[in-house]
Amino acid sequence: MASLSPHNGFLGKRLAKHLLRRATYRVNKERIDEFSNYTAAQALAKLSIRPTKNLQQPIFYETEKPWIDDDPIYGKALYIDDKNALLRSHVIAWWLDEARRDTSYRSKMTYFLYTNFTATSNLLNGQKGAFYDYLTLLEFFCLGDWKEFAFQITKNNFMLFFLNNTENKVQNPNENYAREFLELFTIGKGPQAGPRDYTNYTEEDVVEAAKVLTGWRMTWSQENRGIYRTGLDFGDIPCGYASPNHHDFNKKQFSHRFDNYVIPAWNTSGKSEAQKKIQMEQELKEFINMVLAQEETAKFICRKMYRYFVSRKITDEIENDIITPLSATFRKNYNLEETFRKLLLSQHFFDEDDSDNKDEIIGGIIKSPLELSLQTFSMTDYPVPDPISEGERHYKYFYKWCVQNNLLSNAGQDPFNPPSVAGFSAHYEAPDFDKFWFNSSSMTTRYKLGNTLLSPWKTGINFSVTNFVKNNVTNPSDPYDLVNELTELLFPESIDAERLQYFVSDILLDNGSLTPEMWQDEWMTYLNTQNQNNVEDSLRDLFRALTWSQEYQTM
Amino acid sequence: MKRRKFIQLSALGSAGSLLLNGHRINAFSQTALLNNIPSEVVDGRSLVLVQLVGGNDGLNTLIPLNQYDRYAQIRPTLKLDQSGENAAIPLDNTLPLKDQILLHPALSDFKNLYEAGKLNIIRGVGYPVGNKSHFAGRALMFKGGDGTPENANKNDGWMARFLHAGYDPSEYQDPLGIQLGSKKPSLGFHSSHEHKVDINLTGQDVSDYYSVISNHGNPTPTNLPNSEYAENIDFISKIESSANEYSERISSVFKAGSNHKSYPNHDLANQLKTVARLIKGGSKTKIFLVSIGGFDTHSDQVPSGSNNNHQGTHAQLLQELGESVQAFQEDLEGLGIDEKVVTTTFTEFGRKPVENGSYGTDHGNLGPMFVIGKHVKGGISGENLDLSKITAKNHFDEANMQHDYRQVFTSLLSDFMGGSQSVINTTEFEAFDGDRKIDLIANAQKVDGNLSVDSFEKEQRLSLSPNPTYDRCTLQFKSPESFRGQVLIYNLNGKLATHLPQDFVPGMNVLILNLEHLKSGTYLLAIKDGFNQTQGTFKLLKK
Repeated sequence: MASLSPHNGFLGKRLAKHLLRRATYRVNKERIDEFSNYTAAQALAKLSIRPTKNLQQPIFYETEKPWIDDDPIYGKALYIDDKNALLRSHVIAWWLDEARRDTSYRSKMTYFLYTNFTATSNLLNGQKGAFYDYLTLLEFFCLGDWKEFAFQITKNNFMLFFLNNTENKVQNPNENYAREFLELFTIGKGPQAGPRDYTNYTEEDVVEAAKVLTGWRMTWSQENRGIYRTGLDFGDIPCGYASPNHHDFNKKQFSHRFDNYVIPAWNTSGKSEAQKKIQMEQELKEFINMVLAQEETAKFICRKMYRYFVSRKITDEIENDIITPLSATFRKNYNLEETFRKLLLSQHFFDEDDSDNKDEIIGGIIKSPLELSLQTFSMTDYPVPDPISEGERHYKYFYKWCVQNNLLSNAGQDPFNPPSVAGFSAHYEAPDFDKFWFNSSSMTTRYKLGNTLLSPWKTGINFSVTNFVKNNVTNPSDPYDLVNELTELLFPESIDAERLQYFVSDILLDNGSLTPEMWQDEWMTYLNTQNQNNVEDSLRDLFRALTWSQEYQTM
Repeated sequence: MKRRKFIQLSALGSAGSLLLNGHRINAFSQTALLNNIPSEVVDGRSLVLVQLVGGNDGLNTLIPLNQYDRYAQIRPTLKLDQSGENAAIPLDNTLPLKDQILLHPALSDFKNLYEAGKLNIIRGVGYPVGNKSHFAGRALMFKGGDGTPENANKNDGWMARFLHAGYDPSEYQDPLGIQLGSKKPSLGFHSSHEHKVDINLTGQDVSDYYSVISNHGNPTPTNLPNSEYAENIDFISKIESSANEYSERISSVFKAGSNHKSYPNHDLANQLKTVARLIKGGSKTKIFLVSIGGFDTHSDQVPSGSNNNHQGTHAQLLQELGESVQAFQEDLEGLGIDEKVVTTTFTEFGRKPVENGSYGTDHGNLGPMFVIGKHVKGGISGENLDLSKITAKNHFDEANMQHDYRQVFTSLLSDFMGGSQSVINTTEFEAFDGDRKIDLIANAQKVDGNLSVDSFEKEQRLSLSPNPTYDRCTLQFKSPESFRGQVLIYNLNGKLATHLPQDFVPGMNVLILNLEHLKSGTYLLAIKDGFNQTQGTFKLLKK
């Protein structure tokens, strides 16, 4: 029986790296060593400490000014009208770099929330900070109150624009957001039970929900940005607003799927503008309460969370033993952090809830391109250029060209621009889910990762595998210890003797053209002379082979 | 240091001949080839599927001329002009008025194809129970399903089922399916089958694919304990080996091929250009899947408030579609390979006839499909949709459906690609075979022409008497083996009318069926085994 009971005892290295890989983008030897001495509870307590960010927003290297908001260190924001297209890629670069540095589980949870309430827009680009505000909102709520979040994201400018709700008016209803709110964001679509009936809701509910949502509009211009805000309790983030002239105050009648719930008509005569706005807000919250009152909603989110952090396989056993009790926890107060911690603390997450602790979970997920890239950067302490002193190299050459275009988009994950409204197939499409990340198109990019990182003309960076080995391996002069220690860092499970032999003799020792003794001599020569040339070539081959190995694709 | 790091295809991977029901099946095993088309000609044919992602607005694509006024009423801000410089294009004024169509002005290339007799427009396409979700809609169409409970949860894509049933991959150097235009592998090719027969080339430099693939990768690790981890490693290794298996061939075919004419600079055009070049280079890939996105026009389908409704998002998309397909067709002709290819469009659903007020349209049900090719029987199929009963609440629903999308695919798989009845059955399109096929391929080029129902039945191990039948009939089925299966009876809409679990023994099985509860009409009876493979079908008439 799968169990949510908490895991006891120290993690050890194997479980420590499992936890770090799944919960963060920052995995390296130092952290694995540190976390191996913690219990799961201690480890999660440590991961809950959110570090101060390196930067609160991108600083534009051409102007040396903050791009979006005034900043205590970098001064007054300088908004440049004709650089909107650039702004978006810089916001993404900024987010990626902060995620790489993030020692807590915040960034991973922010991206989880992105897979939940996905929005993207090439039209809006980075314009007017709308995309940045959307990301900030995800981050503010990623460990907080999901019910409040469902309300706040609905009136987020970027979301209002993306799913056309800003055009949803009593005069001309537009049901795009209403549909996706039910189908993708909250309760999810059940099996088709009949014409216009999707078990959890019906087509009529989409129409009625669209009525509730009429009149919520975005603020367009940079000058108006921040006129409406989420409030000090909720991050004080710029947002859209209620426009009573565009709202439908008539009765909303939901179907039997919501127990024929009615939001009654409201008489506007003699009411002030402020009263009308309050009424709109109450209606929206009442609608959200109605959807969240259905048990299926919490289950839908818990299944999403389970697939994202634990495994694509939800059997009846998992549904009964994990999803159902987890969703009961979630329903208590819709606190994301509490639910997430319960899941990651569990014996089940560490595969310790039955007699075989090696048959499930660990190594059971195919890494997303984002995980593959960022975790490789942190593991190798990849020398990413500094965002302030080397701004152009940092934003443009490294994060935009090399990471976003070359590594992520080519591998099928332009991280905030998914191919459809539902996000990336890996996050929603049964039964393959994360297997979608690995296919005959993405394979070449993934397998070229090591090569790319070793190509200064692609990255603008000189990366030394020798330094990486020197800093992470205790006994590099022995080729067997060297490979063993590296695979222990990089792979989910230990390798067997045959695999060890392959990496040592076929790769590092180049099919027998070197002997272990010769390798030892080369390494000692390097230590004595500090000349890396001879060892670096062999280590590069090993680095490429380890990063394009099947094991490294999984976590 | 050169190492060949890919393993050779494992014994598992090269599973060899595909055995189905104990027989080796291929697409031509039983077709009578009434037209005496040589089998190598049939084997040289390819289908190109153009996916219009997002749900194309059918009503602004094809306007029923005789209902223009009603159209203008329900599309006050989106309507295309009936006359003037930028008016919609009359397709064919020799048709009876009730059949006349105005094409979107951006589709002038389709008018040319129609006039050349190379385009068939199929009106009112959908499936029995609509699903207005993009994802469910797309998944259903790729899996060959519909919104009915019995057909909503198919596991595999219909393309994969067709390719596995019709062809022996070990006899083909080429992948049987190639996808371009989307990094996400299509559900249409999804298969639980261990041998992958499709490949996704999106974003790859096709000419260099082999050298990139062959210089990467390790042998597969062995001795892994039975685990989810080992399953992932196995999955990854299979993708590697299929890519490895096909990559050299793809690169060499691409290099051997060429294009005859230049294409417009559209993403879709580039995909089709690659397809033409691969076919010219000798590729025998059966299904090419290409795509063009952006049809989810909830807003700004036309420029807001400008009276320039011939422009805007939808116009650009249709223009890209028309120009790309026209260029592709001309290229195929110039290359002398146009007799090998039929192209068809499809989309996950149509859009509501009544506009939504944001210069856009919301998700609806029905829309047209376009089938293009030298051997296509030009013309229009079906009737204009009736707009008179349309209101904001009552848009087109399934009751107005004239064609199931599977009828179109079945017609092409059978008449053009030569899929035999048993292949169509295994594709799970049996309910759309026979007289439900649409007449899309020129008679002289039809592979199985007008094979009568009788000639099919002779080859079956299944018989039913009496037929036509009344309340009771006797089913005789000669089974090759013992299995627990089901007797299924479908109506001609593909809807399951009844099913009966049954144990079969080797040799002759005799069952008495009670058909009292069936209304009179024509039905398709099928026997399926425990793996949902069709073991036999029979068309029965209930009086």
